[in-house]
Amino acid sequence: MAPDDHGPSPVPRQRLGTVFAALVGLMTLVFAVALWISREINDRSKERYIGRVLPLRTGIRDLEVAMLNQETGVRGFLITGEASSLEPYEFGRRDVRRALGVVREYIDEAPGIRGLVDTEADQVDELETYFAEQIALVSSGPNGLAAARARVDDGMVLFDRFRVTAASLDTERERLTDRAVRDQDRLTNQLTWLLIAFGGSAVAIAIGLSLRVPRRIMALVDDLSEARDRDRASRAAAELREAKSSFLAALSKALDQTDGATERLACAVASLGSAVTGFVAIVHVQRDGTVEALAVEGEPPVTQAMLSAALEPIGGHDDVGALIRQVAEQRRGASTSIATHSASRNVVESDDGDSFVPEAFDVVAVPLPAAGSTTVLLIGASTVDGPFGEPDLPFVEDIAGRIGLAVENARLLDEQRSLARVLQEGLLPKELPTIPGMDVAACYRPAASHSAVGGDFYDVYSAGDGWYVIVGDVCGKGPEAAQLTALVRHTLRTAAVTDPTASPTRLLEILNQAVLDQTDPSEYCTVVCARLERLSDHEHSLRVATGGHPPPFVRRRNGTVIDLSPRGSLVGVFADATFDEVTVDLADGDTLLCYTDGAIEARRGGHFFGGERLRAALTAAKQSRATGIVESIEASVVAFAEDGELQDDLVLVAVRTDTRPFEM
Amino acid sequence: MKDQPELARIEVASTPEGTTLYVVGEIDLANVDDVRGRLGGELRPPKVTIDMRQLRYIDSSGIRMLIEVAQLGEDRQIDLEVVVEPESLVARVLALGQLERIYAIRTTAPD
Repeated sequence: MAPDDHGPSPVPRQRLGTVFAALVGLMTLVFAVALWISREINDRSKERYIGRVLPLRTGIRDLEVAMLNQETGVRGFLITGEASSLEPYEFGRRDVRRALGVVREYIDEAPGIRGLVDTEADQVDELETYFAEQIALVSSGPNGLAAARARVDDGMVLFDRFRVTAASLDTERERLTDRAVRDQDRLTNQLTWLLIAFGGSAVAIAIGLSLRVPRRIMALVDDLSEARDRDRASRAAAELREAKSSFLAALSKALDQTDGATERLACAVASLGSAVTGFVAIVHVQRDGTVEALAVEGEPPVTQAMLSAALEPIGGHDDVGALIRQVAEQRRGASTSIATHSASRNVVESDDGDSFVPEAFDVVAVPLPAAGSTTVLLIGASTVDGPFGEPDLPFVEDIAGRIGLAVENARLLDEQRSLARVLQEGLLPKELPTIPGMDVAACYRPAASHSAVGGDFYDVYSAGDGWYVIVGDVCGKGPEAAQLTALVRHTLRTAAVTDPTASPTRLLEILNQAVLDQTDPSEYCTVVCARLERLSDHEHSLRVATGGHPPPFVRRRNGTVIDLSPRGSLVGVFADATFDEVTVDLADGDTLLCYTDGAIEARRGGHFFGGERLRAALTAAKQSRATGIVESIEASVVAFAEDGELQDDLVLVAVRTDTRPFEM
Repeated sequence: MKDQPELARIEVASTPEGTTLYVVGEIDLANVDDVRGRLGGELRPPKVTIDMRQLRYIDSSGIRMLIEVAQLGEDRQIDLEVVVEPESLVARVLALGQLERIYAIRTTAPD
């Protein structure tokens, strides 16, 4: 079996976990960065805002300073009366406009200061009017100076009011800044919290998912990979099954197409050898324990001698020889052994230096069941693919079973064939007798496809003054047919001995009764029985009776063929069978041809050789010897038959009354 | 059909008057047992006609089978008739064996 790899594969699971962890980490990082950026943006915008409102503060200060300068200049001029003392005043006048302009620029941004700025501007105008009047008074002379000094307090009041406004403006400015900063901070905080809430949720969800979803996905992945593994495994198993069954089919076919037990052994190891990297042998363990290789195949080539030497007992658990003996000793159907042969002692070197190392292989030894328990199939394989991709004892046993059966069948068939041959030989005359003044020849040609005893027979023997020529066909094949043939033959011979002058009709009547008495009602034969008697030097009488048999022909010396068609029933079927008899006188050079239906039923396509072709073949057979005539007709029949193979047995018996050539 | 012999096909036509068995193809040792079984299974009174006009070939085992079928028909008291084509191999073989002793043999040209 394949290693257990059906569990969830850890690699995708681990990888998926890592991916999710990385994802969560990345999210956290992104979130942290976002947080940091938002704080940063907040700080920056605060700074920018402060930077923006700074000129307002300066403007307010500048405004105060400008007015203070104006006041200082006017006060100095009042004390000294010198025009140079007015210098600060001039600076102040100049600066105050610019400062007011700066402050005014913020009116749109901070509407709260609008009123204060207007008040301040009015107060500046009032103060400047006052300053201008004072300067004018001082410049007008001593009376003016006195009047100006008397108004100093008025100026102080105006100036104080201006300063109060400026202070309010600054306070307002500060409040504005603070509020803006607070707003910004609040916004930032809200944003931060929002980020924290969202980001935190996202991370939490991500973590949750990374804990739950991957489990699901992993389960899914596991299922998928399991299914894939299962699929792969089942596909591999199917392929292996396929390879095995096609190997078995090929083996069976090869064995089927091989004739003979020895040939089938060789065929089996050749077939196995082509599928196995290693060696294959079928060995026989003899009574004394010696192992005889019946057939062996290997790459590099392994000879029987090399194998035998390799299988010498060496002891130990990796002794292949011992394994084989052990398997051989087991009864048919007993469990068998698989052994890994790893010893290195049985290295065998052939004469030309090739070495054979059977121990490099996993050795499987199983008995060949039908071929006897002492015959063992040995496969030493290092193959890793194909039908022998994995050790599979039942498969090897199946193979061994098939080989054993095929070899056994072949042996039985061989036996059957030789038995049939022996039987057949016993049922046919060993040699034809010599009939004075006549020439006899016979041909027996068994059907191409049958190994069993055929049903056709013939006989030629003398009785009294005459000679009987018998040609017949018993129904069926095999032992039954042989039995019936023997009965027919011996009955006819015995009858002729009992009554040497018996007519052919009489012989058939006796035979009919014998077959009826001694066989099943449906067993029968067809027979043509001819009796030849010498009338004179140049004349013979021919009497012919047939029992359900194709009628014989007589070929006259001049080439004319005549049918002899006496009527007669099948022999052995009817108790009231009748057999007519035809009498013909034969002159010198006439020929009698008896045959079985194999002659007329030879086939080509849908056509039969038939009586007409047989007549024509007889006409054409102008040989002076009966042997030649028979050979000529046989050749015609075989030539007609498809592929030259006869489907039925063929018997031809020719008797020629003279050995002189035909006169045509 | 799986139970049909390779070279012979038997078609059955039944009418109230009797059964007609059309034997088509060839009968020899290889399929004679199948044909015997099929014919035997279809033998029903009162009358069975075995139409062998489309039978191209019959060997000695086929003749033996016909003898057995005739015996079966006799046991079952069935009127048996065989139809053959004139001058055909089957007609000749049947005539040669005098099977008219056990069958009513009708010689009729093919339909």
